[in-house]
Amino acid sequence: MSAVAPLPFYRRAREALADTRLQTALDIATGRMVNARRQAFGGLVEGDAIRDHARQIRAHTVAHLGTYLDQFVAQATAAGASVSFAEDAAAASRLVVDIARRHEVQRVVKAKSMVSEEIALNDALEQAGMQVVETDLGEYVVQLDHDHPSHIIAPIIHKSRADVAETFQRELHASDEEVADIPQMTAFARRMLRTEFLAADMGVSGVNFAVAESGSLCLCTNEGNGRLSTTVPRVHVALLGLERVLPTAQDLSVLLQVLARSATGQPLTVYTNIVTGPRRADDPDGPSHLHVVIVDNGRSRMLRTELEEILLCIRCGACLNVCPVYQEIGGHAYGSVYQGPVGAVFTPGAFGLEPWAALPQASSLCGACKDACPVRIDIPRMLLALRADTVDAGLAPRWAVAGLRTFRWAATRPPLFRALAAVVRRLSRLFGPRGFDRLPGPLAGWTAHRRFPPMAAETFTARWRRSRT
Amino acid sequence: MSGEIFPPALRARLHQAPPRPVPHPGALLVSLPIATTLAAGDAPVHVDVAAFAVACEAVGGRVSRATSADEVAEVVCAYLEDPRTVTAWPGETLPLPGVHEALRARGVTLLDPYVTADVSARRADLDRLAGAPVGLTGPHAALIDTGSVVLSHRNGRGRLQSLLPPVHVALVPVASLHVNFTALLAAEPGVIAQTANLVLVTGPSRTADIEMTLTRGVHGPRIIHVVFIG
Repeated sequence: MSAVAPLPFYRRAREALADTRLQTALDIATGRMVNARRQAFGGLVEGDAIRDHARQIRAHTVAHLGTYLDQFVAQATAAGASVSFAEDAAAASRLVVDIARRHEVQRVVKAKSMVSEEIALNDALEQAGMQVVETDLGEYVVQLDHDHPSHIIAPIIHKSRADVAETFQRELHASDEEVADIPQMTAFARRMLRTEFLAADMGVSGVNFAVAESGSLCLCTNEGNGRLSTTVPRVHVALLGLERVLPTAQDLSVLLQVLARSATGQPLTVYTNIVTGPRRADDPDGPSHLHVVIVDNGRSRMLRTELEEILLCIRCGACLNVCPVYQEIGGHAYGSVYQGPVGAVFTPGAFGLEPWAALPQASSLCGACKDACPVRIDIPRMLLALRADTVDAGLAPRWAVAGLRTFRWAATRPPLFRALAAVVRRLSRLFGPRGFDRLPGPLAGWTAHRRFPPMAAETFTARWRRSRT
Repeated sequence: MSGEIFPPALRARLHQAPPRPVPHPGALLVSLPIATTLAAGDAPVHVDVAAFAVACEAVGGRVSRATSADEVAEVVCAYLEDPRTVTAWPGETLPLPGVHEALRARGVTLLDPYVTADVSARRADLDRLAGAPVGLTGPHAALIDTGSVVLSHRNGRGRLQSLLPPVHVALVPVASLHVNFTALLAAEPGVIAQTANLVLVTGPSRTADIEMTLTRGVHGPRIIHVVFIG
């Protein structure tokens, strides 16, 4: 396999394939999520029509993104939020650190936010001398372990209960009873994190959808950490991906009908939290300050290009669960915050093709992602487009480019092609009259899991010609 | 006027016309609320409440009905051992008069729900509320399809009552049932903007992060009990 360019992606993928514990965890988890999604849509009357409708809303919004972003900014500001814009990851982190400093923040609690992973916010806040705690159970374990999430909605899909127990004992000195089973471990995390919530000065959250007409933010969570992070601390900072806006509340209600069903198979997440500005005069609780940071970080680069459609994504993770490649290699192999089929398009599209040229290759183009997508994004089309871009930009592995060029040269010369095919056929029948159990060199990969059958003595064209005479 | 937060080059990009029109699909048509009552034998059966109960119980919630403040107080007190404290929405925001009085008559202490914006005194308010075993609210609406309650936090209605205690009791008038969120928005287009925080609660707090095994009661309440009034 040394002929393959030694990209970290291939190395990480090979390591993942050799990790039997990861394989078992992925089999169980993705299987469960695929079933849950199927059942949830089975119970939704006119589910297909609702998906079509949801897609049209997203496509319309992305086509008129400027209009709806302007409306959102105006309405959110009118509701009392401070809205700012960050062009890239560094600017976004800097903005959040500045906000925290201005409010004299020492302790930060974080609800799950993919954008915050993207901009490496924890590092920036910690470097500024603040204490940051992830409060989603999975993200909490990931933070304690100095690890990374491996699934958009199930961050520790790659860890077993024993792994989590070990982490709690090592990092938090949990007793044996406190880690005896999953409910005990969950209760333990509740106790530890409850203290953090009550002591926090600032809560950071992501945003599932922003609503332009009212300037609202919608956050969907199950554990309650999302609500606590945006209710208990006196400052709430929301990180909003540039494309995650919807025109109206009615549109939000349509997207909510497909989001949780696609993600976890629930009709709605436990908490659908809609925030419109900070605490008002007659509110007994809630944060006194709301800051919305709109983050571009490469997204706008894809507008009006062949990759624009990936901006319709609502981050449900359904395409990860059904992907035969993700099911085998898991999330870490992709090396990106965004994994699986959506990550293989979004990552090179937003963060640049050159460092991420291997990701669009991580697909069999089977189309399962497109079928599972609640807004019917044609991911395989964009993977092919990115592969073409990879070749055009000279980023494809040299052996692949040279090999394909040679093949094209031969295949466009029929007499030569027939002669070469005849040589290969005769040689293969000479050395392997009953096929091959093992092929040598770079071909060994093919026979690792299957036999290579014997080649037919006669070509199809020869048989065709014979049968007609 | 508000667009100045975006740099000019990005503004141009964001406002670039799409190559072909991509129209908005309009409103999604939803079925109208089904007839609320239906006679079965001589006992009138509330099909809406029954349908809500099926959806709510499917996600782990509890559902019952009450006609008086005393019945509500009984439901709440069943969850109280020690301390006998409750954090509740103000009496006038609950769909039934006299609930606070009925609780006090049973020896229950009602906590002041106000959390100050003052930095130094805030922690004491939070600690006080965090100790209550039960939170009592009066949701704005309930959604049949998903078994959700819709909390509209304004005019003294706090967010922490449905969040900090391990048990959340929600009092909902039967007349506030809607088919789903889309139908609620069609009936009340301003429902989101009238509050700084509207929350749909669908079942008890849960997680499946460890080995995809469902566990109820993480950071929010472990029990949600919806009591229909009327």
